[in-house]
Amino acid sequence: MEKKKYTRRDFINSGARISAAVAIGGLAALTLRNFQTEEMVWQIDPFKCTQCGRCASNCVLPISAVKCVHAYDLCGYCDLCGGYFKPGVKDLHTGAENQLCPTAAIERKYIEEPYFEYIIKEDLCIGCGKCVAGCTSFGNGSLHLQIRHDECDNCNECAIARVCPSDAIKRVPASTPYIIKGDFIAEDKGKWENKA
Amino acid sequence: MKNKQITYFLIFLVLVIVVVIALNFTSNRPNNSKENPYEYDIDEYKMVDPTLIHYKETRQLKVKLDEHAGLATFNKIIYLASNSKLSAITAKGKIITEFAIQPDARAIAINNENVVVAYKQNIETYKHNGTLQSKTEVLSDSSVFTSVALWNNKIIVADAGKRRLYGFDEGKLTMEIEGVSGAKNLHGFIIPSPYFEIAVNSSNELWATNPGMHALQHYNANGDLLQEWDKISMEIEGFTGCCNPAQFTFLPDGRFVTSEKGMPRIKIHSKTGELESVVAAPSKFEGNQHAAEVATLGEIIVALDLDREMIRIFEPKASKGEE
Repeated sequence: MEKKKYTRRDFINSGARISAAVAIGGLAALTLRNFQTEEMVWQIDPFKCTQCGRCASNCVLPISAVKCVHAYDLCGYCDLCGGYFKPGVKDLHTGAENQLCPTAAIERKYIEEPYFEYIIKEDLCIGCGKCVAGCTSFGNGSLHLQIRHDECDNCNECAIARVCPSDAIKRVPASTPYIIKGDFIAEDKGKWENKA
Repeated sequence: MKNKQITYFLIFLVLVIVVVIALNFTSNRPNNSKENPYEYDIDEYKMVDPTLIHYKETRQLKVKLDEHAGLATFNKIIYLASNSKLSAITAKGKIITEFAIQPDARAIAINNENVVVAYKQNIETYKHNGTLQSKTEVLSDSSVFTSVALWNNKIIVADAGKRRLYGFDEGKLTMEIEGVSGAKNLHGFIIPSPYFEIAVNSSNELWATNPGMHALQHYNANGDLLQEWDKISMEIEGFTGCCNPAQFTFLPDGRFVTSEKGMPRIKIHSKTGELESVVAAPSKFEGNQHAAEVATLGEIIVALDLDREMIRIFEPKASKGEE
């Protein structure tokens, strides 16, 4: 019996069928994946942030969605807090002339000698990171920047992430949307660990 | 005609180059160093009056360090504990002896008989030839030992985790100091980060830092505060930040050698705390994250630079006849 010849037309037909099957399968897999994958949001890794100031000026919102947060359980000790006072102040009182924050967004609350809590007025905070730089330089880094999700538009491409020089802005699951310092035995590996 | 075309082409090329350069300057790319209008600027505090600097760096000894290290001096020899070994080194960098210890050593203290090595939560005592003599149990899961000293036949450790000084007699805990309580100091030791140092001076006085208070404090064995001084200032005369002085030691006559973090610098203060001179200005530690650990060989200051992995020797300028 003569074997049927596999023509060019057969080749094209079977190729088209396979391509269609792959496309439909792929589409189904993608749909399933999207259905199953958790929503992701943008967040700043405070251990990578270099306080470059671009969070304040590059967010698409009129006032940046990046705000300072204070990890109260990490630190609040310093009477001469580098994140609160301008360098070289003579008096350690809360007068506006002593405050480092350009928008007076930090309220320093006395707890007990010599502990303070730093409350961030989010309507005033512009996410410039100046206090974070002061706190990180001289303190424990308990002040750090985070994207506040009640304000963030969660753009497909974050305008700040695009210009971040330290690649500190990344996608995180919406179920754990913040990277808060304080659990210093976890990701930080600890300033407590990191010392001679 | 041909020359004209070349001229037009060159003008066009120059314009393109100018536009590209202008775009590059104004672009917002991550690697484009753009001025930060919110810069935290402390440059003026890093400047030090040159007449205050009485020391010059005379030698750098490259060493291999792991994450933690301990530095001490005894009988004109530098002792370094890191990288799972203890090394005895001359000021010229010659290794005299070396023996294996546990990893993660954080501080050392030496006397004629023993070498005491403090780890995160326990202590080991060795003979100078490396024979292990004794070791203590883990004191506490929350302990973070940061400094060790030998005082009145006791081993004293500064525990930054527990914010206390502990004294051990033959491996047994016999002393505990939680810092002062009083009108000014209601809180004992304030240790915001793991920089908590102790040292014993030539008058056999036990001194400890209270870094959150920017203070140095002298205690007796009962935990009574006998003397203290503090200097809160970002200027060269004082200490700033959460945890300074981060490290200190004594000169033979009892003056203090202090080392700071944040704006790393090494200074000499009188017995009552007045600034006398600067050993190393912040420019010597540009980019460093840690405070240098300090020890003395007579008037010579030995600094362990953890960031650059080197022992740095600073000698008084006058001793070399160089001002």
